[in-house]
Amino acid sequence: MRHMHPTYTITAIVLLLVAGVVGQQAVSMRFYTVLGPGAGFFPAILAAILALLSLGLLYQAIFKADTLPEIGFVADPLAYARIGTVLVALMAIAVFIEDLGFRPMMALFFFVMFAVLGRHRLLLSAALALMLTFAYHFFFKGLLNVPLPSGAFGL
Amino acid sequence: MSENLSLLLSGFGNALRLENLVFAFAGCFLGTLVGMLPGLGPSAAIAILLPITAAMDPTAAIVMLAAIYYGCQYGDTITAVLFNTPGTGGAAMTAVEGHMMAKQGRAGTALAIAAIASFVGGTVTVGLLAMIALPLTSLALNFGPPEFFALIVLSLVLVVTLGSSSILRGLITTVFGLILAMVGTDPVMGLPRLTFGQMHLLDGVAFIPVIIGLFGVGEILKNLEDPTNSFREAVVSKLRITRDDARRSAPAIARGTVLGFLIGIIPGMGTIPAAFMSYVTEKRLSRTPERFGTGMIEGVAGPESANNAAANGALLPLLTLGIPGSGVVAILMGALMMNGIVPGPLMFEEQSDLVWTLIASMYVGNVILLVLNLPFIPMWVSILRIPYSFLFPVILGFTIVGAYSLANSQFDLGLIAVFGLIGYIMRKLDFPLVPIIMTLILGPMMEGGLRRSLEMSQGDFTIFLQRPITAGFLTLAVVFLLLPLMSGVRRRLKRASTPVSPGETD
Repeated sequence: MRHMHPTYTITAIVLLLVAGVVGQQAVSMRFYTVLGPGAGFFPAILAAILALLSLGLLYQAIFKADTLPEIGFVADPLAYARIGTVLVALMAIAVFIEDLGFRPMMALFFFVMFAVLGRHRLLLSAALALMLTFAYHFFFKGLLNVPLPSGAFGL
Repeated sequence: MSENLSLLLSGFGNALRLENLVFAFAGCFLGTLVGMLPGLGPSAAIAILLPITAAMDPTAAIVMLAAIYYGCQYGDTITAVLFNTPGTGGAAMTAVEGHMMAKQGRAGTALAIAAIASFVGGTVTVGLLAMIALPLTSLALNFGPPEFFALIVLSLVLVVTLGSSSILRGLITTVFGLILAMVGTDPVMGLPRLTFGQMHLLDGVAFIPVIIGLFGVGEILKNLEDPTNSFREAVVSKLRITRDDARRSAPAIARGTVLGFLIGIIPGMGTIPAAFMSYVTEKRLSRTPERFGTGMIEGVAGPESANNAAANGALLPLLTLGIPGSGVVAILMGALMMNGIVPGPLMFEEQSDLVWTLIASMYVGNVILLVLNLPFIPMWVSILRIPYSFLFPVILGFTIVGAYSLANSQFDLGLIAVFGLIGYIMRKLDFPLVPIIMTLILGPMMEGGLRRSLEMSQGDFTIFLQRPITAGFLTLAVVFLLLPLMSGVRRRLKRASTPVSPGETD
């Protein structure tokens, strides 16, 4: 028999916290009105069910850990560096795309993806990044008329 | 019947207009291309390509969506046969025999028979869909809020019990999805709910960025754990089908089509059990069952037709009741809603021209796939040889433009990153993703049904037991939830009553 499953224990605690926050928000809204159920009615029920299910998962993680799948969460630190780079790059696009414009941000994004994650040569990465950026711009803005941000520099 | 036929003909009139045909070709091409990319199944592929249709007029968008839907399914078959890497469980059975055929130098034959089986399964069941949908719709029009609430509960329970590896984790995902669906403005009282002061959340959590994040970005992040995964050289022989191949495949295709459609109608079943049941049936009926696993063409023809037939069967509850039968169909429903089409019983009355255009587009999509795929197979293979390090930035580019272009919102771009991470963690923890998509769409309908039912009964919950259809649906839901628990308890009791031999004690 395996001992406590730490990953699922943490997951269950996080889910319990989510249930707590949703429950607290639901209680602060009207639960029932003269017309019928209020805005907090269904969220309160859902929070209660999520709390019960999370307790079930917590019980399973502590007392029945061998029924849960094994997870290699920290198998390869490099893999998590790659995943982190993609997530940071996506967040950077989200924050700066309207200020700097579609083309500069996408070119930078593609360059990072090819050069850092793909480990291609810098020149090749830059050429691919520029080509892809203009291809996307042409396809989406030129052909499909999708509005894309130009940014402060009109790019 | 003649009225249906004339409506279908007018649907064909719309779908076959030159500009729509161009969109259908583009949809099939892009769907196949993205559907066959490593690790991206049909759900992720449709999610990534969805935003392309946002800028189109509704008819063109419907035509392209139907084409993308079929293209993605076939793209999955290509990688299953050539590289033994199916993107979904539906194509996994095809991979068993198809890849063995490919190893014997008969990849062309396997892909050709898969294309024909998909075409037959697809076209026959679209016909069935067109015939059954209208009578079922009139039945559904008699449903009130309690019946709809109970039906949604039953559908979600079926999705959890039949489609998840763990009922507990499936239920957690379902409730989490329902909570996400509650974010926004309360529809009755107009109060902000679970928005935490964020203006961007007043309209709710945007559906498309969530599915792009969960399915598209989440899948890419999982693949980045080992980006060196690359495909071997695949040799595609001539696309020749012998008379013997045709003789053996025809009955398997017929059986797969019927079986697939019947299984596909049941919410939560989807393409995986359909393909599996078809494979098992072919093996049982075969005179040489021992040769299954060595490249039997029946094992490709049956599951492929069942796979496509089930994909169409899953559209029946969507078109008639407004309830998606699978994750892929839920994404398609979101796409239709994005284009102003609300699937459900009223759709045949209020938007009949668009419904029949959708049905006609399915026929057109199937024909185009057959025409497009057979000669293009060598080209697909050459695309698959491109290393993943070149492919994934291109896919990510699509997700970025897609998420941004829907509402020109930076917030939505942030959402794809957040839900990409959530999708990745859920995959690692073996939490099913499909219930989130289903509940994001069904959540508001479910809450509306519950609240209106309680308004009707003035707060009396027994309204759900007093109406026979509602009571029936809810009883079935409880039975489906309890069945696996009961069988688990029975197994445990049986084990406890069996005397333990001395050798087993340690």
